[in-house]
Amino acid sequence: MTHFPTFSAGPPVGRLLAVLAVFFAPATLQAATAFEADRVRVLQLAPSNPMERNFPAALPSLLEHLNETTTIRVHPDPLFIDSFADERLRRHPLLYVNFGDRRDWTLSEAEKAGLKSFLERGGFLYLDAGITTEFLRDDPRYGQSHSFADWEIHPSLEELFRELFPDSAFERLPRQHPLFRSFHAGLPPPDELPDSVRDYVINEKWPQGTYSFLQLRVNGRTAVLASPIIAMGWGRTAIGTWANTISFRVRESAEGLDEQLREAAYAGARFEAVREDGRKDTIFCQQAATPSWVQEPNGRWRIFRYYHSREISDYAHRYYTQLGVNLFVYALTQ
Amino acid sequence: MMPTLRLIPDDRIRRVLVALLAGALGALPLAAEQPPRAFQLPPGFFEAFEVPGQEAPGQEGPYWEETVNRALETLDDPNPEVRRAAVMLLGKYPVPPARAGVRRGLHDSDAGVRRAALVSLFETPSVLDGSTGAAVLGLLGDEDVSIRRIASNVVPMTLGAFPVSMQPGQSRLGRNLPPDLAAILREAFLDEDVTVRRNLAGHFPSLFINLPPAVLEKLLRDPDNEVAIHFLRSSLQQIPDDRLAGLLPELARRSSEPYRLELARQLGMLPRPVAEEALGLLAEDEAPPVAFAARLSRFSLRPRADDYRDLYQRSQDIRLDETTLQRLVRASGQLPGDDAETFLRKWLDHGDVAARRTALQLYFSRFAREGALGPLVRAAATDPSSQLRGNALAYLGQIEARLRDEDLRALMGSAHSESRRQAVLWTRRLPDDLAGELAFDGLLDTATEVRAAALGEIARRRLPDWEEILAATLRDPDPQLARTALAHLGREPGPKTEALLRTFLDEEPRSPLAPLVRSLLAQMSQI
Repeated sequence: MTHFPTFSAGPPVGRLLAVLAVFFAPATLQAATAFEADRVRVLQLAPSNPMERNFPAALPSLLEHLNETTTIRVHPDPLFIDSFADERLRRHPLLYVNFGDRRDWTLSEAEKAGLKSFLERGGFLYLDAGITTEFLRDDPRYGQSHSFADWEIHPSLEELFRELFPDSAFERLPRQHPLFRSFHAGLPPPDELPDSVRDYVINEKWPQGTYSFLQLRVNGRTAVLASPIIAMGWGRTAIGTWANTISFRVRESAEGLDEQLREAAYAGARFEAVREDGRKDTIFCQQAATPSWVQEPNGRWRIFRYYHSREISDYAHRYYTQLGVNLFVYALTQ
Repeated sequence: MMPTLRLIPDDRIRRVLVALLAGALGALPLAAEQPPRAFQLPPGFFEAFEVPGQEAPGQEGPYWEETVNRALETLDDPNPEVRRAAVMLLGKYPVPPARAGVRRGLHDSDAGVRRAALVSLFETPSVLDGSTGAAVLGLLGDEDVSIRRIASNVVPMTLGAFPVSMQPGQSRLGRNLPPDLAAILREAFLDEDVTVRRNLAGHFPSLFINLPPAVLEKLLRDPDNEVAIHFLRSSLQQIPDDRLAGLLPELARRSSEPYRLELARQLGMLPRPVAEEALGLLAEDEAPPVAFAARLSRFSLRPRADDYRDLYQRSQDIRLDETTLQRLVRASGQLPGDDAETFLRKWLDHGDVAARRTALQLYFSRFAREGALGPLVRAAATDPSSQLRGNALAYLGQIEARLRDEDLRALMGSAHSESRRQAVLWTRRLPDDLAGELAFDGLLDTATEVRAAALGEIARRRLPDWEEILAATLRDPDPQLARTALAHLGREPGPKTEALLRTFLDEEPRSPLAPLVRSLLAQMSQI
């Protein structure tokens, strides 16, 4: 099937890409064919073995999807770098980092200098899983499998960027931010979702197709974006099926449940999660990294339900892929 | 209003207690924060440990008892919304009374309650007993499609109570299911809802369910590509040759490119003439990735150097997905010696790090004993991936005795300090003249670790003027290197060393090393 690329939003992509190309002379490291030479190359930090990175199919699948659905042309294979001191940061404008791919976020001086210089020269860094809510920090794996909406950057990242850019701080990306409409607007059609989860997804989970993002501005532009993990929803297998299974965590209520939850005993953790408006949910757990119910800032109590089914997983993948496209289109056109 | 029972405000106390108890019972690994497993706290556990703030005064029984009992009381409420609330709450408590309440919900007359019970049942991953498993399997025939979808997604967890064994008249292991449940499951594979079929197709290899060949053929032709592709992977081998001969040309013409791609791959694992014929058709496919995969499968079945040459040439003109690229690199290992070496050298220069890594492994396993080491040395010296350079250095370390001085020189020319450092360390097998030359080169290096290794080698061999070299290094602006030099001097006490150290102290009395040098001299004078 032939794809006819379209670009629904209005930013002058070609001009901006040309500008980027001036700042970042396109240079591929090895054996660039004609197919590859004129394409933007996305860097990916893989500090240890690139084959052991989280969601290995994710970024290549998303980049391929970008090529198929937009007029942006990116090389579908990320270029792996070991550290922020890598020279290739001087040649390529986009850097994808899964926070969980790096265990120790203590950077050497060379790395700090490399990262600072990259961002000051116009580079864009996306920190996937850079928001990892409190109850997911005990084990690095939790942050890779839960995308719990929160608006606080991981403490180790906060410390790092405060040192690099003492005059800037991470701030919430508002729901009306152009990123959320840079290519796709709104949610994918939710018709396939079960009735029991559809309204929650539309109105609360991802309202108008938005998500919890934090941005760090450098020289007046968004240089760093961080979010809870979304790469888990990008990967496809070679035959086009989704590489992972995603479940939904949904807040539900039913007659009399509010009162029962107020009284309910629990054996796990209790913690707070920051909402977009700064108010806090109080979360109660029965098991590790699995919220059971919540007391919301308005006093309402609701229970968390975990839905596992194919159409839910497929929908989540479509949404995360759409979000990923918006993110990269925004990064290349802002 | 009943008194609220809030347990264990301090999570650390709870974790330690649970971990200790779990370890003692052997029920859980000692890390209490493992992903959820079927684990139930024994009744009375919390009473056995007097944790401050754990229980409200006057309470008896396990912590969950009051909450669970209250929810159980509402399971008979005429209002289905109230019953739904009950099964949702009960799902949070992995204890027998709550689980029993949830199981009751599976048989509720209201679809909303049945669905809520089904979701609750699998909040805690667990293997179900036979009657609960049968109840869930029964929901595969539920009139509510959302229930069938959830049930089909959890089928593997319902079958634990039904053992697997070799079935009469079958060549494969099969599940011992009661006939009525087996029939429900078979029919579910042909459910009108595609999500149900997809769920079951995805689980099929792990279910050990034997489906009749006619059903398998139907599923291989399923209008949904995902379902059909799953069965290509799991069932092609079960179709007899006579049926396959008629079926494969039809499947090879299916309009979906991913389907034909998967067919081309699967046929490469089917060493039967009927598969080779179909691969002939697919090798001429209009989609280059399909044609390529078919040719690669044909090569896997009958490896010939000319065919690999052709594959390699074609691979330069199209972008291969990661799986196909890996297959192609590995396939070069099927070639005889010279041909394999030629192609593996090419793969070691490929832009994809995973391809280079596989080529490196293959090259080492094939040629480490008697082949040329040049490609391994070059990878260790120049590969852009530090991980891969590390692998190459580790391989070379296993065959250190085969390394020649030109190999070490090549490593010394690397832009990466860890490769140069390793080269200096490996000079220990060389005669003094060659080792000295490389060690002195290392001494002029820009990287501390290389210079430190060179100093060590110069000192160990006592190369000409070694003491003067070490003494001069005491003045090096790199404090780590200066300390390294002092350490080497300290291991070789003698009049000349002592004299050099005294000269250093006379000339550099304020050096940061001076206290250490004085201390060392004091020790030497006591010997």
